Amino acid sequence: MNKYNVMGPLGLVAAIAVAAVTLATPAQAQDVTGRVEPGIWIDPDGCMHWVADGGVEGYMEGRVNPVDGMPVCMDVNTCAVSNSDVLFHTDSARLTHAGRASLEEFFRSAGAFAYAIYGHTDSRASDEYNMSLSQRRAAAVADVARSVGARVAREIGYGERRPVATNATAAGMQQNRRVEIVCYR
Amino acid sequence: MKKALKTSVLVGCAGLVSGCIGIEGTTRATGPAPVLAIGADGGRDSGSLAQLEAGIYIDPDGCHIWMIDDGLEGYWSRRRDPVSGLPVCTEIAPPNSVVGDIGSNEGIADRVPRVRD
Repeated sequence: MNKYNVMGPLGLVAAIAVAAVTLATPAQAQDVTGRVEPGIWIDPDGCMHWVADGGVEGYMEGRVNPVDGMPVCMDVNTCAVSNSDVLFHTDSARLTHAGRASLEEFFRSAGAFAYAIYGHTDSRASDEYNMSLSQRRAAAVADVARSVGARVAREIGYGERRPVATNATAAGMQQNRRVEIVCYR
Repeated sequence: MKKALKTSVLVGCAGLVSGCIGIEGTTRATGPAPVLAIGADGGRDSGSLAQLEAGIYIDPDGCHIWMIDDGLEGYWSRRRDPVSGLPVCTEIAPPNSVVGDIGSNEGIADRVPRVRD
């Protein structure tokens, strides 16, 4: 049952009875009292918002993916995506010399108010291991940012949970091993 | 100035029986399921809502909200990180500040509430 149920036992019984009835026939649509034909406004980060002018009032709400609740965004404000193979030694959060140099250059020149840093892995090894590795890698990149005076708003490791490509091929896995940096301008 | 104009249009239309489209390109809602809102502004500051310009309002928790003044309409929608979906709460200004151009000088001059000092 719903853990947020506040109806009490009698209400529960009634709710179950109603549920049984509604389950027996497909749910009826509610009476439609009006229609809205919204436009889409894209914010400076590239994310979409539904927007509608009701004459002398306005309505706006961020567009979300119905499956995962994430905002729906064009690829406008991913300031940088670096492949982990270039930044780090294999299976490690230790930066390569070239990786550190390129990150320093990036954080010196990007000019954002603050940065969000997200680490990702491919799906080899356990979920737990990958969460830890990606977190340590995000932290390593964040340390470089701070070392050149950049502000870090958040540093998060998502492990293998947010792939951008298939993990069934070597090329796909390489795309998934990445550090994403979002600029908060 | 433009908002003042709009007010006068409102008053002017109120006394007319017909021949008046109404303020902001509006009309009375009719039928069982009227279109209540659309993706364009039909008023003096008309145009597609895709072109709105937003500033940032810092809410009392310190998180960013896109804020747009489109004349008679105002819009707020939360800023979320495109990658993580998390709110953006950097301290670019103290809570309740507005940063950047919310577009209030386009079309209709802004009027604001009377606030005690």
